[in-house]
Amino acid sequence: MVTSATGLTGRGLRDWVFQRISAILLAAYFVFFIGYLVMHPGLQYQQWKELFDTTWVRLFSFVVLLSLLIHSWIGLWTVLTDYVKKVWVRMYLLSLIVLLLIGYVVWCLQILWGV
Amino acid sequence: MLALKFPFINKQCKIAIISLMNRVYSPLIEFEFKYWFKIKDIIVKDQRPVNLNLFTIRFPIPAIVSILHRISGIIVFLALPLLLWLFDRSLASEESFQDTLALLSNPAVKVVLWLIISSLIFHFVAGIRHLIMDLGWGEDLCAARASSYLVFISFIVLSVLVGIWLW
Repeated sequence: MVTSATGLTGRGLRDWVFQRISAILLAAYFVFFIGYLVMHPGLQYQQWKELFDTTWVRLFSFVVLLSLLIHSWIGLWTVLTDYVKKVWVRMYLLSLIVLLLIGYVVWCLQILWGV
Repeated sequence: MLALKFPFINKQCKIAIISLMNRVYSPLIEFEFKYWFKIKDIIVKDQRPVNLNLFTIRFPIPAIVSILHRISGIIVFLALPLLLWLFDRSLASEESFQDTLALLSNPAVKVVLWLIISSLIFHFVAGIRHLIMDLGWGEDLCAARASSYLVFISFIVLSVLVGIWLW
């Protein structure tokens, strides 16, 4: 079996499944987020704050955030592997991307749960 | 005589062929025919035009959807810091919420946001097409073309709707 050290799970099929599951979660969140904004014109801060104080919305947001990490990692790994031929350049870019993504997760945890 | 036999190749090729034939096969004219293809392969292979210029290749529509799916994904990834920052500001405090609203009413910010959301919509619609194809539906060429057009149509409609909503 071909393994890859730099894909998220190291296995093509597992990456494929992760990519699909995270895609569905991201799509659901996108529809939820935009749908909420469209249905609440003239949104007030209190209302907005209350929405993200709800436990299920926080959990949903956090799970989607992890999906975002997974989805971007696999997606960008695919794109980089296709177009960047020099191994060290690819490694450098991918490391940068993964560090950024982990940073976003930490940042979003701070946004959602406050410091 | 050779010039008449091979009118479709250039002068240098002809000279190469003639000298080769003179050296090896001149006593037996029928060899000309037998080895012609071999010689032609050797000469022609090196001179084939390479057409890899992406701007002259006409892409089939599913290929365009595929590459735009990638590009839109990259755009959304690059936009993540901006989106997260907006999200952060909108939740931090009442004051920063009002600041965010004021910022979002700026036309230039609206254009940028609209471009980002449009990319996201394209990625979303093309992604749904991908997932449906993963289920085994619409995998033949005709259906793939039709669904590609459908992706473009829904992308345009949704982007326009988002534009109207933003303004």
